Parts: sequence; C-alpha cells; structure tokens
Amino acid sequence: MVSVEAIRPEPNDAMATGAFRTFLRQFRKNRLGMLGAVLVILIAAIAIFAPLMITHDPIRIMVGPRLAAPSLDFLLGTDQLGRDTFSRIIMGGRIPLLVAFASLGSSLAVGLVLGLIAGFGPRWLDNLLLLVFDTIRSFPSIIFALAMIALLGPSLASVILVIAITSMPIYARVVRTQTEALRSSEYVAAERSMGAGTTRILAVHVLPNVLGPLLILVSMDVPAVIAVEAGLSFLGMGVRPPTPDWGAILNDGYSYINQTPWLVIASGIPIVLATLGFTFLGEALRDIFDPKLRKDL
Amino acid sequence: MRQDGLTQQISARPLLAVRGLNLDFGTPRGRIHALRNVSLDVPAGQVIGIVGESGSGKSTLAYTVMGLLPENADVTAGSILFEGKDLLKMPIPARRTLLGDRLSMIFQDPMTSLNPVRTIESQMIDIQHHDQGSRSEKRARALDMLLRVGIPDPESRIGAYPHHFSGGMRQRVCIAMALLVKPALLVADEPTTALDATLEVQIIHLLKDLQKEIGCSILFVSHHLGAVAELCDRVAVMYAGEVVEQGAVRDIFHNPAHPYTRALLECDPGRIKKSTRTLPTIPGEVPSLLGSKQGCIFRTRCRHAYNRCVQESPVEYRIGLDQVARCHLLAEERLVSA
Amino acid sequence: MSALLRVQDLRVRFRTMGPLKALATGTEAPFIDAVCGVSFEIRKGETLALVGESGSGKSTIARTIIGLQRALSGSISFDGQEIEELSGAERKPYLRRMAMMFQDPVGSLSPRLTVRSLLTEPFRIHGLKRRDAGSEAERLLRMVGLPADFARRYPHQLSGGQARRVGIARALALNPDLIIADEPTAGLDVSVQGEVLNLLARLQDELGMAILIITHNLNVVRHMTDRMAIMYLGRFIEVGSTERIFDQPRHPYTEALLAANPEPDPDAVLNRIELKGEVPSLLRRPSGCEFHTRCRYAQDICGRVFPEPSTSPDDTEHSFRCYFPLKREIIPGLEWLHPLSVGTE
Repeated sequence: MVSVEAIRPEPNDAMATGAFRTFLRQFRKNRLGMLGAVLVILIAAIAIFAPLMITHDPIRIMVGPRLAAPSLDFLLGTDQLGRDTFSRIIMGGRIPLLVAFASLGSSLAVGLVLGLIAGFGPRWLDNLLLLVFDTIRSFPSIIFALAMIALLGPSLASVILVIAITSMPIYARVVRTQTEALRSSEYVAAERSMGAGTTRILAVHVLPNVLGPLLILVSMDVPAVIAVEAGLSFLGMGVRPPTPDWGAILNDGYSYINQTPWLVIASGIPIVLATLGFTFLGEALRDIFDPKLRKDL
Repeated sequence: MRQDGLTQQISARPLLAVRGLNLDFGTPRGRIHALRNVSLDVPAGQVIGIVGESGSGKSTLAYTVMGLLPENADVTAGSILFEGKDLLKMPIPARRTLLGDRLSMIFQDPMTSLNPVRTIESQMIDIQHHDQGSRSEKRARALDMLLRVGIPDPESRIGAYPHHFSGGMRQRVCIAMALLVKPALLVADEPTTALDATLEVQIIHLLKDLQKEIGCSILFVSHHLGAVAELCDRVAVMYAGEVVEQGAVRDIFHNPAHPYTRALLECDPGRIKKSTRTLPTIPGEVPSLLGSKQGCIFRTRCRHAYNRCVQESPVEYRIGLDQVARCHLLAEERLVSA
Repeated sequence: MSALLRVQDLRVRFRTMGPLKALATGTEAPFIDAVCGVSFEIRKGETLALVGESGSGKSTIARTIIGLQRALSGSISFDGQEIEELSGAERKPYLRRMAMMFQDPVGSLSPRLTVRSLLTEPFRIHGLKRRDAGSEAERLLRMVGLPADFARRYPHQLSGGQARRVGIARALALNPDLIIADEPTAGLDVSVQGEVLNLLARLQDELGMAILIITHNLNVVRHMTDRMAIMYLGRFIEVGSTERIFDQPRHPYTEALLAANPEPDPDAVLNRIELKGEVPSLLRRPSGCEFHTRCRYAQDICGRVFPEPSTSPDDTEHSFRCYFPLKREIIPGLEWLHPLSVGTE
C-alpha cells in the first residue's frame, strides 16, 4: 500500500469498545471543541430554562428608568422602553436557536431524503434532482431571502422557510455524493448479494455513514443561521416587536448607542459566543470524523 | 562510483548504511514503535530486497530513507548514511536536492508519482532539472529511456497524459522517470503488487536489466518472496519493525536461520508442490507495536521459543560469511556472535 | 452427481457510453463484452476455480450468478431452476442457498455494524428470527475459530485475516449449498492466506457445500479445487481437473500463468516465462484467438479464427482452445506437427 503501513492503528489490539468511546476520548483532547460544546450546552440550557431565570417580565414596559446602566435590580440595565435587558437577552436566545433548529432540521430532513434518492435512484432522477438543487443554489441567497420576506411578510415562519430552502441543496448534494460512492462500495454489493432490499440497504448501511459528515456540516451552519436571523431582525425583517430577540435588541441598542453602550454589548456578546460555540463544536467534529477535510493539512 | 558499481560490491563503505534506526509514530493511542534497531547496508551496484508481511515496517523503512514520512513520525535513534553523509542530520533543503538526483523512488501505485494533468513529456523533462543541457537534449534522453523500459513508439506516446497508459505501462513510465536522473539508489516500494502476475514478471525482468545497465543500487521492498528471490542480491527479512535476518539471497532462501524466515518460506504456496488440503501457516498474530517491548519480537509465534526469548532481545548472530540473524537459538548452535 | 449450478453460454455486456454519446461520436458498438459465451457447471460439494488476470471477466461471472449484474444472454440454473431471468424478489429464496464473499475482507463488511450484527444480517434479511442472535453469532465465530468477544468489534478493529474469517462465517450463516469466493486471499499476507484456505477446506469437508473460487493466483487453486477454468478476455481457454492442468497445461497462457509464481528460489529463476505486452483492452478485442498478440507460439491462423475447443485424448474433461497446444511428450516422428511446442518438463 502506498500509505506508510504502521500509521494505521493496529486492529489486533484495538479494544472491543464502540466507536463512541474512541470518539469521546479524542473529543476530550480537543480543547476548542470542548469549549464549543460547553458553550453550546450552556446556551441551549439557558434558552430552555429561560422562563425560570428571568428577573423581570421581558415584554412589560416599566415606568422605571430607561436606558439605565446595569444595577442590582436590572443586571444588564434597561432598554429605551424601560424593559429589563437581562431578561430580554435570556429570552432572546430562544428565537435564534428555534430558527436554527427548525430551519436546519427541516432542510436536513428534506436534503437527506432527496440526496439519498438522487444517489441511489435511477440516473434520470439523479439528473433531475441535481438540476433542482443547482437552480435553487443559483439564486443569491440574500436577494432570495428579501424577496421571500417581501412576499410572505416579515415573520419567523418566513425566516425559517428561507433558510430551510436555501441550505437544503447543499445538504442534498453532500448526501448524494456520499450515497453514490457507497452505492458502488463492496459492502453494499455484499448486502445485495445476501438478498437485502433497497430500503434496508439505505436505512441500515448507507444512512449511518452519510449522517456523520452531514451533521458536521449542519453544526457548522448553525452560527451562520444565528447570524442571518440576527441580521434579518436587525434589518427589521425578522421577528416583530415586542418579542425579545438578540438581533432585534442589537438593532435597538444601535439606535441608542449614543445614550448607552449596554444594549449593544449585552446582545452582541451572546451572538458572538453562540457563533463561536457552534463553530468550535463543528470544527472539532469535522477534525475527528473527517480529518481529510481539515484545512491545515 | 555508479559506473563501476559492480566492481565495488565489497567496498568498505556501502552506498547506504542504516545504523540502529528507531522510529516511532505518535498516534492518539500512544507511540507505535514502527522500526526498532534497524541496521542495513546497501552496497553500491546491488539489489537489496526487504521482505516482510504487512505491519513489518518495510515500507516505513523505505519512506524513512527517502525522507517522505508523515508528520507524526519521529526518528528516536540511529543514522542513515548515504554516500557517507547522515541523511537525518542533513538540512532539509540539502536532503531535498538529493531526491530526484542521487535518490529516486517508485511506488506501488504509479499514479502516486505522476501528475495526472501534465504530459509524460513535460514531467520527464522537469525531472532532469538537476542536469545541464537543452530541452531537446532532455527530451531525447526521455525518449531513449522510454524505449529502454519497453514503451513501444515513444515518440508518439511521450505527449500523452498518464491516464492514457495502462497500469503496467504507467509503472514502466515511473521506472523510466526514476532512472532518468541516473540515481545512485532506487527505492522501489512494492512496485509489482498492483500488477497482474504476467506483468509482474515483465517489471522484475526490466528492473533487473536496467539495474545492470545503469549500475545503480535498488532497495526493493516486497512481500512477494518469488520476486525477491529473482531480483535481489541480498535480502533483509523484517518482522514487526525489526530486521530479524539478512544475508545473501541464496543463503536466506536455501539456509534460513531465523525461525520466522523459515516459517515465511514454508508458507509460500509456490513452494508446496504436492496437493494438500492443509497449507502451512504461522499461528498467532503480529504483536502490537504500542508500548515498550522486551525479549524476542517473534517469540509469541515461534515454536522454538524458550525462557531466554522472553527475557532478552537477541543480538545479531553471524552465520557463515555475511548472514546475520537475531535468534537466541543461534547462540547455542554457533558461537560466533557479532 | 447432479449439477448444482449450471451456466450455459453466458454473455455479459457493459455499455461504455450513453446512447447519445455513441450517436454523437459515431461509435457503432458502445459496449464491451466482459463475458462472451461461457458454459460450466458445479456439482454438489465440488470446488471449481475461475482463474484469470484483471479484465478476464471472472468476477463478472460471479456477480451475474449472484444477481448483481444482468446477463445479455445465456442461462444460469441453480438446482435445476432457471434463475437468470428472476427479479430481485423472486431470486431472494435462491440467495439463501448461495453466498458470495467479496474481495476486500474489511471493505465488504458494513462499517458501522458490529461483528454480531454482521453475522446475523442474513437471518434478518431473510426474516429468520427463530434463534437468539447472540448465540447464533457465537456459534458462527466458533466455527471460524474466532473468540466470542469478537462479536462486539467493528470491522475497522479487525485485521485482514480476522475480517476474512468473519466474511466466511457470514457466508456460512444460512448453511448455503454454494459459496462464491472472489479472491479469498486478496490483500492477505502469505502466512494468513494459508489459514484462510485451510479454514475454507475444513468447513467444506464438514458442511459439504460447493465452492466457486475466483482468483488470479494459481497457488490458491492448486490446494483448494477439484477443477479449474482459465479465462482470458471473457472466454474459457482451458478447462479441466486441477491436478491435470497443473501437471500438463496445454494452453500457452496457462503455462505462463503457472510459471508466473514459481517456487521462491534464487537458483530456479530461469523457468519464468515472460509474456509480451499486456492483456489487451476489451475495447480492442484482438481477432481470432485473443491471446495471439502475446503468444510466443502464435502463427497466422491464430489471428484469424478463434479455435474450437479440443479435448485431450486421454482425459475428455480436459479441454482447451488452442491450435498449437503444448505437448508433454512429442510423439516420435510427428515433431513437425508442433514445431514450436515445448514440453513442460
């Protein structure tokens, strides 16, 4: 063989533990990945348990101080309407995460199915689906997003739909390429020779091998979605007020930056942390599962 | 030195001398000791075979000589003297200029060393960048070499791309490129493994003829005993990262001293003439190279192993003129120890 | 003995380009014939080898028998039943009775499944859930000489030889009548090759299945098989009992193949026969006898007409397609008949 033979881990002393253990051990060594995982878990936990953590009603407009600096009562100060920024930030993480989860989840599901069909189905169907994927991808995504929002009106649903549609072809193509490679692999031929049907081959033997790289891709897309959602909200095209949302708070803070920097700081930091967290996590997963994709090699 | 290589066979200084080489690979699960205390001489003008099974470190040794190791490789001890200079201590640029000049290599997969998007002609001219001479001279040399490796009508084929050639022809092109620079040492890593049996015969014969003609040395790495027997002057047998036995090809094949060499030769199905339902095997598995090792590396599969094999690593024992083997049994049979 | 598998005049054709491209480039025959008119049979419990180099069509035959590849024409019957025309679902019951082992020992095992799941995969595919999967896997592992705790391993944790054993165990899971082994020793070290072949031989003695071995390595064939067929560019050029062919090869290609892997002895190197050139591309199939371009005995006739099969007078099972077959002994007074024939002794 061309590669230097001894670099491969010897199979004969490989412990009979699952691949998952090996993965955990490798993951623990990846500092940035661990940091990313901690950040992601923290942000997710805050979003889930947000109602228990808020100190004030995030929507109620209060008669107290406006655009106040942080104090013991208002941990991160108040906004232009006297609402508690801390509570709004805590609740405001729910929207970006929901958008990311819903949009990427649905585009993952659709992309997976279409990719499997394209990769395993007949040639003409493959060509047809590829044409569809490429057509969608050829639209500039921001223009597409603005057009869709203009058409459907600014709402959470349209943001989710736009992101789902624009990211689907990328996932579908990845799945299709992987599936096509696996289709001609020897173990799929072996399964066929035992009489296994297409459904079984796809579900048991192709899907698990396609899912890994796909999940890596998705986890690396989460920060982009959070940024897009924040951007659309910042432009006033995402969620409607008074719903708390990082991007919207940032937008408000930007308007009042002359009076107080706290709104921008308080909403900017979680956006940055969430983006970094998912990026580190995604890169760690990629390095472990697919070292070939690593940039520095 | 390369012209009169044959007469210098028993010169005092071999062309390549590997001395006490230890090499580790760092892996997530610990250090793999891929080469342990490897010493080997390649005299000028000779063909040295390295045989061993997968995991024996034979390819690693070839890559170490060429300096083509991956980043996780770490030479922990030893030296590789090439024409008297230690390759391991040489600055990297100096070492790189040796490649494709005094040292060249052919690989198992010819596509490893051929650029798929450039013509054979441009690659064969480029490889002569160490030489003086005009482009047309270099082209003429390339054509001559293609003819010598048995590519018919090279004038029409030289403009082709690698994928226009079949597997066997590609390997011939690689050999032509490797020999074009008139190297002192050609390192061949399993050059026939990917080829059909009838093509293997052709490539072996070709290497043999060209080696005689050019007078270079060849370090021929293979798991195929038949090919080694046919091509090589001397053989080193490797097992689990160690050279367990080396000597002249006749001695190794006719009078193997190490139990592993004997077992390996017995296993070769080409040797078994009678029809039988039970073929000889070497029971057990190649030991893991992780962690430190004590005693003889082959003892777990050796039917002659005894206490001493567990306790101490065997040194090299000399048998006859220039055959050496690492086995404690030899200490009892023969008293001349190296 | 009755034939378990009978293949008659099998032809397999591959398209080399789409119909549009063929039209555009004016290619009249946009296909290659990987297998052209091959007939053979395997009796119950017998071992037959198909031997040839890359491009000889030997693996294509195996894939066509198992249903991974459609035949252009010809028939394949298994235990008296024509199976070539069956659809996937109709063929399934027959796939219970034959099993194929693929070349790559590790690569033919689904990478995310444990050995236990791999070994019990045939049961699940065929809806046989009557027995406990754990004990079934254990039984199969024991049969191929692997410890029971291997059931928890994944393919990448196995060495080539171990993965090959798992492959054998899986092939035997449903107790088939026929095993097709495509290069059973490919990628294995010599010391492990022997183990795998011994295991197959032992299991065949115990279980009595027939084996079809596909290989380029004649040494594998010698110890394992009863009969063998040598293939060149999709055709059988010599068929006969293994012992007979090793002893008295008649086709020059067989002779060269036999000489290609001789005893590893530095003093016995001179009897290796070097063939000229390479196996021709299927796209440019030579006329007449396909081997004539590389044959050292070839004459004019060889390039014109493909020779009909002839049989040895003393062994009717031994047939070959050659105008100038090799002779063990040249009959006195008739030397002129075979001016170029050389004895193998």
